[in-house]
Amino acid sequence: VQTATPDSNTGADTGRADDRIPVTVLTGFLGSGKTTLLNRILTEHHGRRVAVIENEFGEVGIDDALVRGQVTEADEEVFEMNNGCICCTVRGDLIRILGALLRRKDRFDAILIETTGLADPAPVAQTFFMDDTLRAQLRLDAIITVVDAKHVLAHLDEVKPDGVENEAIEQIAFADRIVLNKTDLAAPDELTELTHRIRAINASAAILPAVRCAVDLDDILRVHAFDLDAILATEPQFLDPDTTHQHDQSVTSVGIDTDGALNPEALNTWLGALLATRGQDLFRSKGVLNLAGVQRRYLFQGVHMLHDGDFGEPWRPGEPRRNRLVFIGRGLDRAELDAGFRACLTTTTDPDAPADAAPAGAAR
Amino acid sequence: VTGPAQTRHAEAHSWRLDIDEPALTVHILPEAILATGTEGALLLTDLDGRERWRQRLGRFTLSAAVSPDGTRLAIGADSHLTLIDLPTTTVLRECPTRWCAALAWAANSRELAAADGKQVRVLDRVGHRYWTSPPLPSTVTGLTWLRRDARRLAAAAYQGVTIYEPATSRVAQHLAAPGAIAGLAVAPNGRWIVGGSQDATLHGWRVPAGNDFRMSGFPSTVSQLAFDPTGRWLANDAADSLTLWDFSGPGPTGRDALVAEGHPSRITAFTWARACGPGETIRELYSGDDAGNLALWRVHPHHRPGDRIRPTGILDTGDPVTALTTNDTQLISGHRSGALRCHPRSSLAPPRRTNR
Repeated sequence: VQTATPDSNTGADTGRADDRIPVTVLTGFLGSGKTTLLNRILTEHHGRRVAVIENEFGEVGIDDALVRGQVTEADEEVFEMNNGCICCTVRGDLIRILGALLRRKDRFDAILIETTGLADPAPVAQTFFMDDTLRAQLRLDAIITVVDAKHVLAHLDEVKPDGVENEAIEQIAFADRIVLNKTDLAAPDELTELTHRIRAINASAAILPAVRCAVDLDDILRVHAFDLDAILATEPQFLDPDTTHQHDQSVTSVGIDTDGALNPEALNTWLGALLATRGQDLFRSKGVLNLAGVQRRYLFQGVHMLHDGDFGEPWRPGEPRRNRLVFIGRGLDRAELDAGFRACLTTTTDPDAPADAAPAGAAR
Repeated sequence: VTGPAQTRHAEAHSWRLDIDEPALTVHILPEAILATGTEGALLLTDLDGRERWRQRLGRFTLSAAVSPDGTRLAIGADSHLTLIDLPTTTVLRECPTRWCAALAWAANSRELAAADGKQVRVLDRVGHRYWTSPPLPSTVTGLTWLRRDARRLAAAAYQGVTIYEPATSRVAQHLAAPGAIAGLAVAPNGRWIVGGSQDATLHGWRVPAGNDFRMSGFPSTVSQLAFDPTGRWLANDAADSLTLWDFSGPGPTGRDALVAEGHPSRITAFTWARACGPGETIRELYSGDDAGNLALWRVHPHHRPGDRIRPTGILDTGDPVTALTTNDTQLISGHRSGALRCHPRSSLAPPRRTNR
């Protein structure tokens, strides 16, 4: 049976203000302080009406901006998308709940989703890339991971059988913001080591130290976390290569920071091949890019092999047009990623010149 | 004297009422109109828009279904199923359930199938459960009885459609699909079952043979699909257009869709009207979009798969449409604002030519 209407357009259009409702995903182990943070968001006067989907996505009542779930963990509904990629899964229960929520009255301007301590954040995040109906109305704003400063090291060091992911590492790898909670219970040298460990896994997440989750909610809600400019303003060093790191099967970040204009076609081909072959090991990818012949910065973010991009603010006159991106994943090869990316740069020095797919510089 | 027959043939006039919350469903009963809202509102009016009964259930609503005889209303929510006797407007029963977003009355108005989380329950018309299915792989997303005899029931969930025979408690057939099935439609003759899949395809089966087919290329997930009353065309939403598939003869395999284009925005609701025209050969379809436009489409006998049709009429209400239904004279639209509007069907049709 033939194709229906391939040319229609539903979702994330380019070139218009993004008025989609921001969604914050809150992860963290049981006891890390997620509920404390949730209660602060619900009780503090931050001027936003936040619909909270709590725990197992059981209900959608948003009276008093609170939703309580009752379903047990065994009821998680993770759907494979059958697009040939085993890492492409979505949370069917989340699609269902959000669909019902969006049909209801306009009584909220942000959504916060609390996941269980052991839930894989990937299907939750991927749901916002895969489901067109949700994608047209919602945007993933940030993944926030609450970490118990006293106990997380034990979780990070836990050795799992082959093929079983260490959830604590995974939650840190996925995070855009990490609330380092209970800092009052950890010794200063423990905190230093912990910060170093978190940085080694995820160099791009902002770390917010806190006691009883007392963080500025402006750092949590509506943060546009995929926009690397925000993090670069506070952590300008995060893209520097971590020279002490060895290439192995552990979870690390690879940052790339380079000037030059990108050939969009070459970039698409490279990124497409990279995500298709390494998607399973790539937890997150995000960046701000300078595409040849385009006056606006291009923002993209991905989870495993799925990614989503949109044009952001125009480059300011005189501003250096730098490409900044970060990959977080297992067994990443910095030299290979760097070379692959640089091969997508156009050879010409004129940023407005038409794209030319000539491979440039090899790994340095 | 205003008997039902006279009311039905009288020229309808426009009116508007409000339920103060997004409309979830609208229904035309033999002598009344019923609207349900997403926050639990219920409104019953007569056909002229005079309010008869207004009620508010204390919870938000996921689904609503009126029995074909117009006497029973079932309301599904995330924790309860409510059964209401419409002639007396009394609540007959409230059953605790899990997520209940799918309901289906049998043609005889005696059996009600209801989703209860991952299970399907069948209730009698006073709300007593008499059959419960084994759990499906996910929450039940769609339910429909296969034929008028109400012996077989199709339930959609992740990984396909399961056909049950509640009387014998037997799984008659499982129709496997790779993804999660959302919308569900069964041809009036019970020979075709089609589901909208999460991966923006339609998955269909010929029953009882079970051979399946796929229709792809939709710009987004298809969640609404419905056969016209004669069973020739299956319509489904596809962003700002409707696609219609020809199920006559050997079915849709190898046939293009008939595409209905011209909606200014994303289609949110549509409904088939009774056939009209000489020999009742013209099929009429009404649709509404999220910008508030209502459109009328006419499918003529000469239309073929691969054709493109434009709306016969468009009416801009400026108020996003969330629900739609029609009878011989009236088109009732429910809106996101909570408005319930009645439009004479003639308001969307082009001026009639005098017969010669």
